[in-house]
Amino acid sequence: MKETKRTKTLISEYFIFVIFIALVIVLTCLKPSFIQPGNLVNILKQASINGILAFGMMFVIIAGGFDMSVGSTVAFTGVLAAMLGQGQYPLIVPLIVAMLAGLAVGVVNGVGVAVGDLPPFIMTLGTMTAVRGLALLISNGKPIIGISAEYKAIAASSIFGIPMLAIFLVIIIAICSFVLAKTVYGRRVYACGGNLLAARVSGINTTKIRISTFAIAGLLAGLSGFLMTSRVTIGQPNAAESYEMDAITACVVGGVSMSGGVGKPWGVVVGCLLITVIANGLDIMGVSSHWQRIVKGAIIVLAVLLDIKGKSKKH
Amino acid sequence: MKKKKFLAMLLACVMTLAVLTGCSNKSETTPAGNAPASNDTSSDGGAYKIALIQQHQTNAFQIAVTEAAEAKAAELGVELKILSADQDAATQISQIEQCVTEGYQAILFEPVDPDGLRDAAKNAADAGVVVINIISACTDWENAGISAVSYGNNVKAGETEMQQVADLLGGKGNIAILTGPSADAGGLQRMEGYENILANYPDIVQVVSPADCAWDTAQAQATVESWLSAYDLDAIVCENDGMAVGAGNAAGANSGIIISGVDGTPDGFEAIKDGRITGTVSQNGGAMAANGIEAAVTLLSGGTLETNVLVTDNTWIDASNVGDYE
Amino acid sequence: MEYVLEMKNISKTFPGVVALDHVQLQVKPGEVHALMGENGAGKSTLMKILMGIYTKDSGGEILFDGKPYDAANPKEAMDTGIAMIHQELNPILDMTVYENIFVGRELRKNGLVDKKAEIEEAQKLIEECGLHVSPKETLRNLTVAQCQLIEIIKAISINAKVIIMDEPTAAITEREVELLFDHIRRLKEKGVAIIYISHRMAEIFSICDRVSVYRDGQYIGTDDTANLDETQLIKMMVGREITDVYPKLDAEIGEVIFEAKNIIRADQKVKNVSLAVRRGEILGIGGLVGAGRSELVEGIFGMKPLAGGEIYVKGKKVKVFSPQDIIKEGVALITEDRKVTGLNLSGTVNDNIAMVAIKKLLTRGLYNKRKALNASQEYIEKLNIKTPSGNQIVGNLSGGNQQKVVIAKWLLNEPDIIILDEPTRGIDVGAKRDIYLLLGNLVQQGKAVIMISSEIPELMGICDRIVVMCEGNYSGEVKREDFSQERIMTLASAIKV
Repeated sequence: MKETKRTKTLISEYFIFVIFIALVIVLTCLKPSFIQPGNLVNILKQASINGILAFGMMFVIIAGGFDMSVGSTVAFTGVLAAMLGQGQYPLIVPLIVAMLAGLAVGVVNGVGVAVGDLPPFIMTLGTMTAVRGLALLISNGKPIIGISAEYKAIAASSIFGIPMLAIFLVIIIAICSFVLAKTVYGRRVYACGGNLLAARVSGINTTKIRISTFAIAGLLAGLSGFLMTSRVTIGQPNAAESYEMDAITACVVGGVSMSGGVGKPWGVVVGCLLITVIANGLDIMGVSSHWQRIVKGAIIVLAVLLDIKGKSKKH
Repeated sequence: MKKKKFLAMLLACVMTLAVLTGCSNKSETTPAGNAPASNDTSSDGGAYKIALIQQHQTNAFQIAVTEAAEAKAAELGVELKILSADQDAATQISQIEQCVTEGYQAILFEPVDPDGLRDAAKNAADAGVVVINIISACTDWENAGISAVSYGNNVKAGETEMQQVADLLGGKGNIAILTGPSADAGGLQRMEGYENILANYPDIVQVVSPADCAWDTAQAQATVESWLSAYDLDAIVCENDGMAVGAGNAAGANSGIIISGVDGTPDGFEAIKDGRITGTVSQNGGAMAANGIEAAVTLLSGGTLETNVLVTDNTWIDASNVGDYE
Repeated sequence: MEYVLEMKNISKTFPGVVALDHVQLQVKPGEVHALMGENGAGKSTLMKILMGIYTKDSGGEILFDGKPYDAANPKEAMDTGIAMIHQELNPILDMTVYENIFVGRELRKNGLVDKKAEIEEAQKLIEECGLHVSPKETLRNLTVAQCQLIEIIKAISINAKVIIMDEPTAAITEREVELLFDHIRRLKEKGVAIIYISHRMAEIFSICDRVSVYRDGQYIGTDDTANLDETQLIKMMVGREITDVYPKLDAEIGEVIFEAKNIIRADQKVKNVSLAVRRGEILGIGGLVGAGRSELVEGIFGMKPLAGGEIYVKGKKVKVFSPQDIIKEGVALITEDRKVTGLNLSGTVNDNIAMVAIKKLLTRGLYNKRKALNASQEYIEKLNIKTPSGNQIVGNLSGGNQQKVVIAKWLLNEPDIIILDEPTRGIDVGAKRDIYLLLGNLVQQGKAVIMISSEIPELMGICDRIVVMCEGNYSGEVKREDFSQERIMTLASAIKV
């Protein structure tokens, strides 16, 4: 009895990893060029921005919240970074400004949810719309061109063959994983999401913690905006449309429960890679983007089903 | 209790802000030296009141339209109001109705949807307003009361682009196409143009089916990156400059792959100059708008048009002539 | 010093309600001090002020260890040395035992969480309490009883000088109650004071040294438990004498009206149980927590799938696949957890009462609000539901009144067989009595009542027969003339005499 229970939990926990490996194998068989180092580098590059956003989103969801606005924040901070990245300032300036702007958006979200008691969906829907408007306003609707060569080089360069973007991602993964697993703060983020009332009566300042998770998501969105501009060489106010959906998908598929309190970093990594590999693989096979959406949708539903089944056992 | 009061005040501030921005957003160009008091609909005495309703204002192409329209209006001394339908057909219909009520004598608009806006155009025309389509036209516009159309020709633009590519390829090679959002009328017309030309070149082969990258640079970049690792491509034909830039980023400057776009926007020009893309087809949206306004003024002052189909030519822009168009 | 905690002249007003009116409380170190009073008396409010969850009105003072005390939030309260085990459990289900125990007070090493120390410490505490779980187990995999014990462990581990326990035994078995009481005695020896809130008279007299009584926001008095008996205590709580805590009305018992034969649940939580009840009869179902009683009635009612068994209502065999099937035969089930499965807490009293029998409130197929209001008003009066109006939000009512709303909802449908699962849990003496009288009235009309309860005195007080279950099986039956505590406990623990 105990043996089968353990294997069942193991399978459901690592299920997503199994699917990922299966997908990689299938794609390699269908198109051997998939596994070429060149394409693997592509996958790393393509996964980076979604990955960084997903890790920010992870904090928010684990604490029991939800953030629809990160896509707009990426666009907004990307435009800001492009405007400041024309070579007139050292590159640290657009980076800091983008991250601070993202942080500001995050704090607004956090205050609205934790202090104003607004449902996260509504609050972030509002910021999503408003920040997108901001992006269009400051760019006057046109993409910002003319970023400096060094700025462009950030996304284009690599160290020992590993793209710079991936290195950013790995650093963020390392920091986030450490914080969530080892720090008191991380433990309390899980507590807030697991049972907000319990956390509060145990003396945790849940308001501060919830605001901080939104702030982190915003900060990382700012970083993504900075990197995005470098990658596409322009600050596009229309960029990152629906990136929040991809970030949420990566989290959910990776085992982060939508009701909060549960989630492991490695799961989000696999979730993010899974999404990227689906897009990359289907592109390589020349499959239309409509099919990609159907596949993505099916995987989300599957992942959430497993999540719910696991939860319904007791209580 | 305190929270409610605070929220109510916040709401009041936001709404005031909205009203204020609304007021300042109308780019009214009143000609110098004209008393701006008159609000009546008399067509003689006082400047003509013309409204321009754009499909949206969120890319360089549309911004060019806005700027050219304002310049032309100032030149001709007409009062011009510019609105944006934000890609929503229902919004555009409401805006047209509103302009009729407010007494605008002519309405120029780029239909968000060629069928959905037809009735609105007809109603406005029946109310005595001069209606002109710019950039693209409503279905069966001649019988919908629309007086004139001033557009480029997306099909022709597509043909120009594909012809250039075919010539550069010497009539044979592997190509791939990036499209805009699947239901987009402009995109579909460009594709029609591509297919017209491709019919003449059996040796030019599409090695993958066209990918919908929704006009987005990043999406195009990711798709082309993936493609390049699996396919040998000689040319990538994109339905707009935004996606062409993304393709160019993926391929790298001077990659030897022919990459083309449409629209002639600043990001496209930048990419031409540094060798990431080969060329683009300028649609000159500004000229379409300007010609439309001229036609409106002609009709309002009782004149007749030589032809009510005003076509603005498109031009192929590449490294050789990009300097002239910036 | 004489008192470790003194609350003097404490008042608390909410808009429109005076919850506490210049009340007091004095607790000696090392004593177990009971707080008693009907629901709405103000006990929870007083404790929440102590824990910093509410702020008291100005005036009045609190002294802790002789020094002025003013906690602005639970953390300050805990830091000063007061811990609380809440009535509604607050486990974080997806975290492990050790994480739950140390939430908010994580053990640290070099600024980071010291998991090893937490696990070791948790292991010690668990063993001391006689619990058999691994500190690394996730709470989702534990029973409700185990979760409650972990809550208790948590409070104990704070090393508080005063521990407030609010209905701590509500969901745990008798054996575990004994373990809890052992621990309470150990804490007493260490000089820790315990404020004990419970409706269970037996426990109060068993473990508490003194008791303070509150009524309608007023402080009534304090006395040693040794000096009081049950009747006197009830008089202080309710303001009048209640000689018959368990009123038993005379009713004529007729033919069998409901029968469940060989009920087996698909998930084996009920293994083979049969029972029958007659018109005019109140049948009790006794047993320990976990015996499968709730599972039995849920299965009969169509809430969970059965693997075998037959159900007969008024002689007719009924196939039950969902509650609808048996509701229309005239059976009602008032569930154990009124807040989750019984009420729409954000709806009004009227809305809730109208929920089941809605077909009776239609006129030409449309919902007739007037009919619903009249029906609701009728039941508010009949059941003595204390509510300012039918439009009061049910979530704001006291537990006893909420339970009455649930009962009203079902009675409106005019059932013949009424099944109740722990109907008086968490309800004060006055409201309990109202419910017993109500059940008595129902069976006088020729209906039948089946009642699950964990309080043997209650079962013995009002039932005509008691069926006892043990570990999913039918263990035995006791008739009223043979009622005795030992008989029932023996059957419940399946000890062969």
